[in-house]
Amino acid sequence: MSETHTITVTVNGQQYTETVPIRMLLVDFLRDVIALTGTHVGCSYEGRCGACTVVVDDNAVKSCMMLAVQTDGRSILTVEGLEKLSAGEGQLHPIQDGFWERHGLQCGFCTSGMMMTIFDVLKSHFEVGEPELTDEAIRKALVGNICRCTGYSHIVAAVQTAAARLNAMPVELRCAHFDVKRLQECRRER
Amino acid sequence: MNDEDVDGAIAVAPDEEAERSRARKKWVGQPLKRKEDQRLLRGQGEYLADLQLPRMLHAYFVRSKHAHARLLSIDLSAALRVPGVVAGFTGADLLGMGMRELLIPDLVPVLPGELRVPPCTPVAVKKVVFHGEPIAVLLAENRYALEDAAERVHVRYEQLPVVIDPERALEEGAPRVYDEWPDNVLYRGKMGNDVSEAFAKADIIVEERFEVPRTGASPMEVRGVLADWRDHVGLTLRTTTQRPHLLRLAIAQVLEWPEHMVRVIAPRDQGGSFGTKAPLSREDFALALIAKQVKRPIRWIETREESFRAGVGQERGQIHYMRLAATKAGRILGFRDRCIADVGGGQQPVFMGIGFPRAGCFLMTSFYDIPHAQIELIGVVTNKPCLTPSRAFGSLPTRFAMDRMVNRLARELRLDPLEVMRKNLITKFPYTTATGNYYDSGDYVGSFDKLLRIIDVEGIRRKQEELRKVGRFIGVGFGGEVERSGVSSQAYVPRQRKPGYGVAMVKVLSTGKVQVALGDPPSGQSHDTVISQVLADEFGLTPADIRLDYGDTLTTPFGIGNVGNRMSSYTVSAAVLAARELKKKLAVVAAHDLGVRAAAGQFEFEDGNILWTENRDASIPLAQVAKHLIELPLDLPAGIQPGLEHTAYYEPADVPNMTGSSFHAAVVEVDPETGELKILRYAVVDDCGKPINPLIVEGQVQGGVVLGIANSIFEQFVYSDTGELQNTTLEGYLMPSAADVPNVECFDHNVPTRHNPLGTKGKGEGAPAPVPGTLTNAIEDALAPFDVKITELPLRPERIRRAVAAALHITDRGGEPSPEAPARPALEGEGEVYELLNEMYRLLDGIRVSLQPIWHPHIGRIRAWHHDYEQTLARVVGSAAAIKALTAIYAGETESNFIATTSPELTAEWRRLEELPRPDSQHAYLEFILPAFEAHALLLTALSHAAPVLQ
Amino acid sequence: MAQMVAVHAYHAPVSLSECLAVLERLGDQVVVLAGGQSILPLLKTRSLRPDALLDLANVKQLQTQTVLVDEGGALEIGAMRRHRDVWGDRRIARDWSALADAAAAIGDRQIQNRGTLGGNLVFGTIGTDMKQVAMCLSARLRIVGPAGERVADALELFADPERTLLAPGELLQAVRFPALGPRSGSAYRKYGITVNGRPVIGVAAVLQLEESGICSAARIVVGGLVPCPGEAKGAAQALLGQRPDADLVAAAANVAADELKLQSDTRASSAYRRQLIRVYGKQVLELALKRAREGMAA
Repeated sequence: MSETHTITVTVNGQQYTETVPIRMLLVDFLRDVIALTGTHVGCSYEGRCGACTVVVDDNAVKSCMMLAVQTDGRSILTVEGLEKLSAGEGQLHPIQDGFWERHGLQCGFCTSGMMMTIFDVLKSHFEVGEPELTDEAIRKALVGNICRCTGYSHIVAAVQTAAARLNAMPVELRCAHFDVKRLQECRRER
Repeated sequence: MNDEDVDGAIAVAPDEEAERSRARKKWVGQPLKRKEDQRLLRGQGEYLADLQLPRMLHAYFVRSKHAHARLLSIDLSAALRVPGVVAGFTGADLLGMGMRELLIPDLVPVLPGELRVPPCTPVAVKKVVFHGEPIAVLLAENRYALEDAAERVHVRYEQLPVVIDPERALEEGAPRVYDEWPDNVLYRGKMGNDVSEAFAKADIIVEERFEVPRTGASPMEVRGVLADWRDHVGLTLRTTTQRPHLLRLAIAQVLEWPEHMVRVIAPRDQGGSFGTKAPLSREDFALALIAKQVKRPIRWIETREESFRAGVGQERGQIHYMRLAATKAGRILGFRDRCIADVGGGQQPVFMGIGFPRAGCFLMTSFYDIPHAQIELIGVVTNKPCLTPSRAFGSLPTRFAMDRMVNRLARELRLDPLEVMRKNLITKFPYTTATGNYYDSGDYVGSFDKLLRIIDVEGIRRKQEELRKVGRFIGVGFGGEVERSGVSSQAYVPRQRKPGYGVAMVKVLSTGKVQVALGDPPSGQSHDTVISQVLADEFGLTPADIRLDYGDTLTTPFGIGNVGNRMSSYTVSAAVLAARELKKKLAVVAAHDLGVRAAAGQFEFEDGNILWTENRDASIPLAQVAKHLIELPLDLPAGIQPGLEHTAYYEPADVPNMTGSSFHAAVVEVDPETGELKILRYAVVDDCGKPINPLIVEGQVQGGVVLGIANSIFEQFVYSDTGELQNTTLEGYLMPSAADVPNVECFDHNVPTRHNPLGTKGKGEGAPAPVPGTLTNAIEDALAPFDVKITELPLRPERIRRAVAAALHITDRGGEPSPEAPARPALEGEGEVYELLNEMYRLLDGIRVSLQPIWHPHIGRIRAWHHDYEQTLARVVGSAAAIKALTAIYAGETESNFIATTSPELTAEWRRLEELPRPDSQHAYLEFILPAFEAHALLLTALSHAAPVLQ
Repeated sequence: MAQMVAVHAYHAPVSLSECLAVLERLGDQVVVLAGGQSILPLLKTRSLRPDALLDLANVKQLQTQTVLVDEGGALEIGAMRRHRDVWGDRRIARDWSALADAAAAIGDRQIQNRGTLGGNLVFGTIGTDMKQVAMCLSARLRIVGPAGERVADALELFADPERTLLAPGELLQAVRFPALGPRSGSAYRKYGITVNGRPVIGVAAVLQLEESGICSAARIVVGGLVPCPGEAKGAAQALLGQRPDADLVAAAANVAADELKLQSDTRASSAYRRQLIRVYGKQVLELALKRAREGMAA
């Protein structure tokens, strides 16, 4: 039997059909096959550091803890797609803006994964009210992402700033910032 | 946004806030949002692992599986047969290709005292001295093939006795790491002055031993190299490094290649370094050689396990024996310290594991006015990877020892530690310490008093009293540090034979934009933003008009490296000097073009214009003057050459260094039942001279303190007696997450230095150092009713609980922790056969140890045990001599007796596992343990068959 | 090592019967992926070297969650329900609180998004949180295999280190948690050195009060122990027939700490584990008691 498998996945709204080794990790697929190198590897696939976190079907997962073949038919959002969910061309997503404004990153290596976890956290906060956005709850939600530069406080502040900005938006606009399916539809319309 | 927002550290965007800045005429001092973030936030960073070249091969370092052994043979043949594998090289192969000794005199520090230089080639040839030392390199078309091949490398070792504990290594008769040395001392030296009088006058002498294990910085991005050789062009080596220029020079020196044929490039983005990328890696040299041989680009990205095993992030590792002399009023008269640094193999260029323990000792007196100090430093080699530098550069253990010692003194004297600390603060600047360190500026009393106000010590004391009544224990502790803002040539040239200057090349473009080139590459320290703010002020532009490049040895000036707080003191000053040189030239041409008679000093640069201060209507766009100088070089004033480029060097003119400082306070609550620690507040008052960007300064302090907390409470590299690293994963190493650490409250009390153009001092290096002392002082304060004493790190709850129990003379029922299974007595007999058999049993024991429940952090280890065991077993079964020896040992005994005599526990475990129903395949623990036992059964079968034949 | 061995086949069927067929055909050549969060590291380090992978992710039948009215309001959770779904469910948080506590304490958010209840129970490490909770809440495990369906009792099964959950060819289909009854409360807490670290000890407790406030049922199970979680029967006994208060639960926790066999290992000594059980046992019992009393008020 074959050691490869053909998969079709949607990444940041774009559909890819690729034949990949079964043993290929999702993170290697993203970085090596479709050349989206914004997703990083920090613990060499141990699954602890969280730098490789991406959003698969609305849930933050570590892309080194999933095989590429397991994403067949699924939709993935990576850091490269985040900006496309912002309110307008050239604008950053409020999560990115929060990091920028509060100096939530230094070397930037953990940042992509950190923001993808936060995407999941804020989406779930605005949809079901959990987690609450106390500093403590934010810290707990980020247990799966290690940062060695910032000491985390500025990241917590970045989440608060992003949340405040999203909170101030009309519901529809806010939801649009989390609507990954929108990316695919935009593409189709074009 | 209003002014209050700025003070509350809400960042300012360059475009939005340009107007306001113009009103203030200053970018320096603004909490500007970072320029580098635009690419990083979009996933557009360019880290080493993101770089690829056509025809690129992937490299894998085969590493020693023993901590101390002779390499008898390395067989790569099976590995080379794996499809996709292109080549393999052992150390011997590399010798044939021109590999040389690494620690040439240019790469060895010059230290007062005795220093021995260990033998070391980039890849080991005959002997390994630590587990994880590189012994061969494989190249393949993809990483899958590489790892498939790596499993098929067969190495024969002759194991040698291992020494792990540095104090044991100093004992008479300890195994020697280097055969040709008489003992295990790499370095022995003294610093300080005469302390006899201090001790003679003392009312009280306090003695203590402190121990800080190996921990450090471990950035999120591991190391990597992309090496590319082109004939007639030479080597282009992209690598994760803080000092590309030094690496280029070293490659040329070590490999004896022409320096101009070596180009080292640090990638635009690096995922943190914290000192770990300051040494020159052995892997860089090996891959440079191999790239030349195979003439194809080669990329190597290490794994986290590999990184840990190679010693990246393994700093600290010091033991201190301190004796402190003081008056009964708590005035410190002097101290003696004997520092034992566990330098591992010591095989790293530039520092050799000893440079930073020495720096730590040099800074040991810190902010205390201690007239007499005498420190003996002993660097001891052990069978561990070389101690590598990390943020705080040797100072974390020395700060722990010193700040703890002052606390001990206060408690002995029944004085408030705060009073004792305050009483001994340095009050006059400049100041030269007993070890000869020069402090140019500071206001320690001012900083300390500010911290006391912030913390509200009296309030805490009241609360402490109240809470104690209900069985809760809070406490407050203090610490601090003095850090050098870079080191000048005055200090570097004699010690490292390397310069200390800061250097920057500044170029004004024809359109009035500015381009800056630095030799030293950042790895998260915000160079782009900082330089842009500074030069925007100099040239009267906005930060968006400035471009920064760095790290390419072909296009940037030689720099010592992005290390030790150099950026905002040395490098920024050089950029300012370069800009001012160019401004002089611009002013002369501006005067000429405006047709006014004015001196260069009479011009200001504002809003893109050059203005005559005597008559501000006389103004000309900077771009117009630049265009004149670059594109239209006619009608220039006399003596003015075309072009607008200048490279400037900066050193403080008359002093060896400039010094910043920080004072720390922690308020903690400790649960005496469990020893669990909660940091209620952590506050820092910091002096960086003049902050260029307060937001970035705060980021450095936050990050530095949290690294200190990680090193103090959680992290520790643990080695077994056989020299194997026990925690090779981030989880096993207990790297903390956001939920494990507190917010840090950051304040400043800045005293600008007079020795550079902006008054700036560096910030970032020192922040972790005071953390363990501060926390421990707070813990002891909280637990004062129990009178506990803590002298070792990490401050894990179990350690604190044990200190409480010890103070109360309680013994918590139960045994001690057992990190290792009891060692099996070796089979007696001599020669290779017995070594083989003992090796087999050692591995089997390893597997048994890994049957312990929390095996996940040790996955790599179980696999290694298992793999090696199978290989060794195959050799035992295949060796008639081994079988014969075994048979002889157990002649006449039945199979079960044989097992029982070798290991009753193992037999029981084996029997138990054997009788289990065949587990489902999810049952991973049995999945790979069982085969080992099955293999063991095979051996016994082989024996039983062989026995009659042999008899 | 970071790359797994070459795998020849990847199966991701949509029905349980197809899964069983794959298992029967490939036997021990196949590794089953539930959430994969513990298995993937083993694959990547080549500790497991399967020929084929069977991914259960597409089997809808394993993702159900139902309250069984016929079974007195028992909760049945499909083996492939993710931890995120478990802690995110308000009903579980209210009625089977210990289960929600544990699901929220496993690993981190990303792991909770992938990891499954079934995978956690089947996977053979003791560094798990779910086994002690399943035992404490008297879960019943529905197992399917070539010979049909069988049911195993978590309390009995996980307390016996010699037994594995599944026989060759079998899969865990669902876990059934009986309703706890009125005036009950349960809770779970662990000490993992770091927040959400693997449990050095993890204490699960459930108790039920009579209307008078007398404790009529209690169970305390402690995980993180070798070779398997331990039920503190004496501690439960200490609570029965009593009106629990702070002193009584502290006393019960002390009994638990004394009666269990505790190991020393790289993470903690047995002495420290004992101390932890005293403190965490008390906290967990207090929380369970509080929740039971909230049930009384309601």
